[in-house]
Amino acid sequence: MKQVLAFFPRSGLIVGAVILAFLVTYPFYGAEFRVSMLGMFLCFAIFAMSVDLIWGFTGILSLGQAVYFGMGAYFVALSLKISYATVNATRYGGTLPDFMEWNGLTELPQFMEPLKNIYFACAMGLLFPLVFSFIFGFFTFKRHIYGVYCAVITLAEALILEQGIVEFQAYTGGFNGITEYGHFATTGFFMVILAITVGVVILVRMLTYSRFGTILKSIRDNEMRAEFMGFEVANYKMFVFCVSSIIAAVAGGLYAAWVGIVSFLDAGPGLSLESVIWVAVGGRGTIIGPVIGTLLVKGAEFFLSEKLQWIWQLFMGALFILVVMIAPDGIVGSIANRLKGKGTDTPIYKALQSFKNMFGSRAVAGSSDKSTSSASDKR
Amino acid sequence: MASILQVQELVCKVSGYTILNGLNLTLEEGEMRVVLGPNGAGKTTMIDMISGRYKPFSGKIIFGGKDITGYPSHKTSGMGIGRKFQVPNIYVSLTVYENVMICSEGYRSVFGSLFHRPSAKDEQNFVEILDLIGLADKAQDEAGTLSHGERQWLEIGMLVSSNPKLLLLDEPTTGMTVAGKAKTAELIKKIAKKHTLLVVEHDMHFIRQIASKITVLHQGRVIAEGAMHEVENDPKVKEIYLGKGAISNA
Repeated sequence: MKQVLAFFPRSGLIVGAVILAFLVTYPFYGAEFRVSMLGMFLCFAIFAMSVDLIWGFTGILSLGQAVYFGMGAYFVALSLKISYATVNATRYGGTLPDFMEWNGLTELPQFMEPLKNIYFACAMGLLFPLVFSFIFGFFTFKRHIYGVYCAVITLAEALILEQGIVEFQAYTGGFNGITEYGHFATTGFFMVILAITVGVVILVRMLTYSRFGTILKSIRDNEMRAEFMGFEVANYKMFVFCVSSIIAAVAGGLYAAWVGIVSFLDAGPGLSLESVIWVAVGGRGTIIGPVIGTLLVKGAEFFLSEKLQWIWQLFMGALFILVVMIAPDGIVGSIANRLKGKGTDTPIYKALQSFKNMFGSRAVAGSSDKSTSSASDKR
Repeated sequence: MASILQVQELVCKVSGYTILNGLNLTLEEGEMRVVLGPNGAGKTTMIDMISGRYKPFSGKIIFGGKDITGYPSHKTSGMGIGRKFQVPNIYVSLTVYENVMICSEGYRSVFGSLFHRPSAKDEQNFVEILDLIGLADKAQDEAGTLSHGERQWLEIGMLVSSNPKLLLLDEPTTGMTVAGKAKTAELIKKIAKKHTLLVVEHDMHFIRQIASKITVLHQGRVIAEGAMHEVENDPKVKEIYLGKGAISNA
């Protein structure tokens, strides 16, 4: 326990404890609908951390991370749906999942038989992403494909999976997704999600704040130097990519069980891009940043859509632009930089300074000129 | 002394141009060699080949008795060839200390590095290296805040930390002031006591400060080899540098 705590700064532990205290108690006094939203956001937060691990720490921008999220989600949803259908007759009276019936299947396909067992489905939901990310990593990183090219490949992956899900609708539910399989929105399951969130925070933190993590950052900084220092960069990237895909799959599985509906949108480019935005807003390479970014963005989306139904998306767009313009390191990243005494030349600091100059004193223009000139002298 | 590096008849062709044309070079263990030559002589290409950045067209590179021709860069590095780039290549978002720490010997595999923690003795070693390169008081600064010259020293420090058998330094004084060059010369002399060095350089004054033996390259092959005064008086060398004045003014 002590060893684990040693990975976190004291201020982080205090803030983390406060947030955790809020989250643990929320289901007991929060409205049911809000609790169910919060549980969903936590699943997305786990997913965002998986993006942070590869993008923020290792510098691999993936625009298809939802592929692994979707895999986890679909395995769990399919399994739950199949078991649910055997007990609860569908509106057609059969014991098959409804989407199979209206696509002309008369009995459960042989290869889906084992999915009746939820534990087997969970295991597959982890194994598939692992194998796929390993294959992807092998062909991409071993061939030194990086940067934009890598991002484009991942984006294509997400498009393919999305298309595949829509095409094979007899097995996946197609456009309608998989619905009505009963869901686990209980306080107990909320605690499970919360515990896994905390666990992933600790795991990612331990992974990245060690010699191994420093190597990841060194690869992000200067791949060629790392290569010439004797590190086989491709292996490191493959390892991190696999770990991240498993984290994403866990998030997907929890999401499917919690929300009770899974669709092709949860495996496509849309969610992948959204996750990149969450990480960017929260602060990449900060672990807790993506969690806060997800909660903030999704929370804002939720409140704005409640209050301003017709214009909320406009506000969301404006919010993203604002964050990227004034805090390119993200919210947590900017705060961390200020605490370290760095970043006096970042836009947010300058913006705050000019704000101060505007409203702080009623001094004549001359004195504010002076303060800006001394600031530029320092630089 | 056994020869640590043998380059035999190395040829490199890039889109019809012959960059290296049958280059031969032998380096003894513990030696410090300076490679000299006009622009386009193939100095950096030679280093690229030895360190495994590019594969040679033909020819052999033998390091420590083993044929390493065409090995990828992480493998040559693993065998003990450290390479410094002409433009300093450091990890800008890590601290100076982390830069040195990360390069320390061993633990290059994923699972090897996962659970490795530097020991107290290692940490002592890192501090010594920081002292050596004169960046001890900037240990906790981000490497991105260093000046150009300090970056050059840091990269040398990172290489020393990895404890290579052979160190390839590609123009370690690029963009340095006179004082900086003198300091670099001191640094290189200190390193040369423990490591075999191959230094590519232009600056004659700097070479005088450090050199023992000089190899002159021209158009992809060796045209002269020997001590400073021998090379200076070599008629072929004079011919190359003719028009630029004597070699000592280059």
